[in-house]
Amino acid sequence: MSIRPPGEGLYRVLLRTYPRRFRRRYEAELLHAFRTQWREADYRGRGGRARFWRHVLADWAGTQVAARRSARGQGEGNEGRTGAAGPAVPQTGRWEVGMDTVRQDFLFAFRSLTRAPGFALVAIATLAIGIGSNAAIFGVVRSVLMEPLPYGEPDGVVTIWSRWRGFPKSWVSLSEYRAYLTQSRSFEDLGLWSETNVTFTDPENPERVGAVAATENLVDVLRVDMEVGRFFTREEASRADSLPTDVIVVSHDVWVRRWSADPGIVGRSVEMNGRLREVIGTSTSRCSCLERW
Amino acid sequence: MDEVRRVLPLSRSLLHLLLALQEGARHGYAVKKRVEALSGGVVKMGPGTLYTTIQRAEELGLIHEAPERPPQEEDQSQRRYYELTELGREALAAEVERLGTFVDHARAALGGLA
Repeated sequence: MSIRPPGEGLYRVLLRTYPRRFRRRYEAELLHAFRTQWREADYRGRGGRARFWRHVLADWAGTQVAARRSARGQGEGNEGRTGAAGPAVPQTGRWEVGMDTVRQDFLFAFRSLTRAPGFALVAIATLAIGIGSNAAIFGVVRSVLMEPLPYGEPDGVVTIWSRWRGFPKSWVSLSEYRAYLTQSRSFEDLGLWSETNVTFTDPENPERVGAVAATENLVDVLRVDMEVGRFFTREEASRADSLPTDVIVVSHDVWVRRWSADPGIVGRSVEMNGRLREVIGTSTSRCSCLERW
Repeated sequence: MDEVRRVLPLSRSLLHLLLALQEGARHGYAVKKRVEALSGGVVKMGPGTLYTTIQRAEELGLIHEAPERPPQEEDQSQRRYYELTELGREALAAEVERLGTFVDHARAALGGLA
């Protein structure tokens, strides 16, 4: 009867990274070899145990490619060996020699790192910081420069800001919007929105959320579709000089969070700012400018 | 001979495995110990290296599981025993020959240093 050495659980986890075919055939023997080697290492004390784990981890890392390559070789058959008599020969030995060299290089690198743990730590931290910062910068570059805006015609959409004395960049007023609408010939259409906050006052699940009051043509201007239902009509918009209105469109996030993306949300009455409103639609998840609804 | 040429040159791990099995059927751990002894303790095969090499040798037809197990007193029932196939013996002999030629050339190049 063999005593289960400490760390065998970890080794079993490592074994799971080998291909299933390899494990099925050799797992019991691998564990047996692991236990036997552990007993020998344990006999040599703390240093022996440390060397044992260093050896086992390097061995595990260095044989991942070989085990996979063998598994693929068996699964794919013996191309180029038709007519060969006797046992199947999946590949020539040259690949094997090449992989052996790669494995030895890998083991050498691993052992060198374990011999100088301080250097290894600095090297790993440097790599981690480098990779992390690269990923973060690429994320910004991708979203700012590479990803198209989530509108139907992103090249033709602009945001108009106003400018006052002492305020180089300010919101456009309703009067300015109306002036643009009637006098400007540069734009096909103009939509207006204003950010605010509202509260779902349902006593069971009250929630303060960001909201947007918008002109009825905003989704047409931006060329975005509704996820469910429809947007406001001109008549509904004209009735509402300011919030609160009688009908609301909920954002995709709010729809998913509060109503679990229930498509039956349209027509439902929702208590908002102490009054019941009718939900007429939900916005799409693609359109970030409408997320505050 | 074509079959032998296809598997040459043998990797270092395969060569050690075949050498260890050349003396008779052994289970995996006994192969490891024999390889260590043959190499003067220089080559230490971890479990992963040992069994990926065994797997490779089985695929290449160089070894197979021994149909007859050793005598009961030496037997360990949970272990498989492996032995050389005919191809394995021929490949081992050819590889040793190849390496011998290489060593001869290397010695000659170094001015007859032994």
